[in-house]
Amino acid sequence: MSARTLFVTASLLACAAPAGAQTWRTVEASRQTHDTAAISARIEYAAGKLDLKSATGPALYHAALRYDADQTEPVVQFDNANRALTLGVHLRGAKMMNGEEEHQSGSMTAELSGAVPMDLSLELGAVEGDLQLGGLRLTDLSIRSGAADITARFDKPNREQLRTMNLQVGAAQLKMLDLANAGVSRIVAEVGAGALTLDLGGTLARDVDITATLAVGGLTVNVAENTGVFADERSFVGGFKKDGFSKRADGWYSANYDSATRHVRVHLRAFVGGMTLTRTQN
Amino acid sequence: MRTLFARTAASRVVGIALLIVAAHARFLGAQQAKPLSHDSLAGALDALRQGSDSAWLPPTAAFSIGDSTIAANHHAKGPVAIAGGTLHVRGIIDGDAVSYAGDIVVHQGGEIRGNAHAILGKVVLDGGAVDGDTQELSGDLKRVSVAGPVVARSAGSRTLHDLALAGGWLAVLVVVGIGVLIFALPNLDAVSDALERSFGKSLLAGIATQLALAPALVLLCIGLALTILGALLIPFAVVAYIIAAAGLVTLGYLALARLAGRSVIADAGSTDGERRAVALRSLVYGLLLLMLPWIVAGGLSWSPRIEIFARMIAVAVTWVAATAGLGAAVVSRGGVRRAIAPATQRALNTASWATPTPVSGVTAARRPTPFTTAAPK
Repeated sequence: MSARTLFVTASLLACAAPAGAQTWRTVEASRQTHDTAAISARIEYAAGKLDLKSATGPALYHAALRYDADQTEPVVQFDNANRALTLGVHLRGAKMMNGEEEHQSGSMTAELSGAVPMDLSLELGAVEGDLQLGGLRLTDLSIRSGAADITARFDKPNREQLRTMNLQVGAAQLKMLDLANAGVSRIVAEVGAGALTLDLGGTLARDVDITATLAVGGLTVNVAENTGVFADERSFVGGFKKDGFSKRADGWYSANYDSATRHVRVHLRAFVGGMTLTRTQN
Repeated sequence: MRTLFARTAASRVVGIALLIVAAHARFLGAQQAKPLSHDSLAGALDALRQGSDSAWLPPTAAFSIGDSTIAANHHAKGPVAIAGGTLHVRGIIDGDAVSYAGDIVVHQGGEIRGNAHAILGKVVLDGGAVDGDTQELSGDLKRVSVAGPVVARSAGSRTLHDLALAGGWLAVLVVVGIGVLIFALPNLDAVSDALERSFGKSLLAGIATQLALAPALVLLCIGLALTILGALLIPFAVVAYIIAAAGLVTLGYLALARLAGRSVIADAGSTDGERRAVALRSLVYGLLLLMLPWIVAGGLSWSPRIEIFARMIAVAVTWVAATAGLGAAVVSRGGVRRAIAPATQRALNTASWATPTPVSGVTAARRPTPFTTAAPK
């Protein structure tokens, strides 16, 4: 019997064999927008691939979740009284996923209305996420990530003023891109052993204050050349390159700080690790 | 060269595989095409009720089999549930609409004033409206292998569990202690001596070591990362570092336990065998003493408030023991550097100062006297 015959036979039998001990299900959920009162949206996703973007239709939300019912449980809930939306997938119990299961983990695609002001919080576990937050009406944003790899971008302007952005990064990589479109004025970041990138390139609508606490992680801040930067940094090991900065009483100021119309102020507390400041042209 | 026989065999194998595939496909098809009955529906719905969020699922008796229509200008009280057909909504449903193996179509003028759930089906908005959520569930809906719900333990069961846990830890520590007595007795002795010499110094050294553990690991990694070859060793170095730290803590904890046990057992033994027996007994008694707060806390599990207090004491005792033990292990370089215990030192000093002659004394001897044969006067 040739190798080709064996291969064909094995492939056919593999196709015929039932799938393993996983029970894959899909939930598609949506809700029509009835008014434009503000809501509080919470996305809790334990493991898998997450795509989030602004909804194109009249739906308040639309979510498609593919999940393993043996391991996880979907959460799709809108509390009308409190105007609170919860979407996501929870692990059943405290099961740990092995490599194969993680590889075959589920996915979630969520679309949120751009017509409703929203306080959005995301709690993400072992998630590979792509968050297109542009076009939403975000008033507050909170992202807590464990061992995740998340890229969030404001490819379109946020249609509300984003008051506070809270970012908690565990052993994760979180990239926040095009934040000039977010209209954010205050960013509070806590980084454990991960890496956080804050891209504040472009034209800022207002001054931005960043308070970052790093354990052994790294913070990269990208700022436009014409934006003034102030850094108040205290770190055990690490810090940041102070080329082009001058020391004043309360911290380090970039050469153009006084003449710049917009400013980014960074208050950094780091144990090991530090900040990398990069400049981009407008 | 392939023979005719080999070709025939290969064709047969492929043919059998194709037959298996076809049989499997037919089996699946037959499963799906099976007409829906109340019994099969009940089984399917029971499988779905395993989820924690299944309150929306009406009882099986509420389902009607086949197509159903809510006529225009007609109000139906929800939940309206159908299976194996299509639910046409032209009027109003005051509540939820649920379909199993069928669609829900909300026509012009139709309204569902609750949620619309389609299991193995679709929710189609054909000009109508759903006030609540629209959900479509599909995929493998068989009963899942979910672990049963967590049953709250009774107070007695919790107490037994906690006592067993404390007992288990004690047993593990005794086993480890026996191993240390057999293979690393000199190190254990040295750490015990360091503790006996100065408990306070050991405790301070332990606290300092705890504070320095993480930075030292980081510095070690940084140091290794500076060289290309060293960078490759970082994972091994981290593991070795953690094992070494755990080993020092264990050695110190056991040394302290032995010291505590020695205070209970006065007899040190005279022969080598007796000394070993005493060492083991003192270690077991010491471990029992150190684990006692945990055992007491486990025994108080029936009262959560008292248990918390007892556990706080247990944590404090364990922390002090482990910290002082770690400090002593560090001070004595893991038991390699031996110093004489103060009691021994005192005894030695006193004896050597008080009696320049050996303690055992000097053999008495007659003073030499001149010998004479002359007669006494």
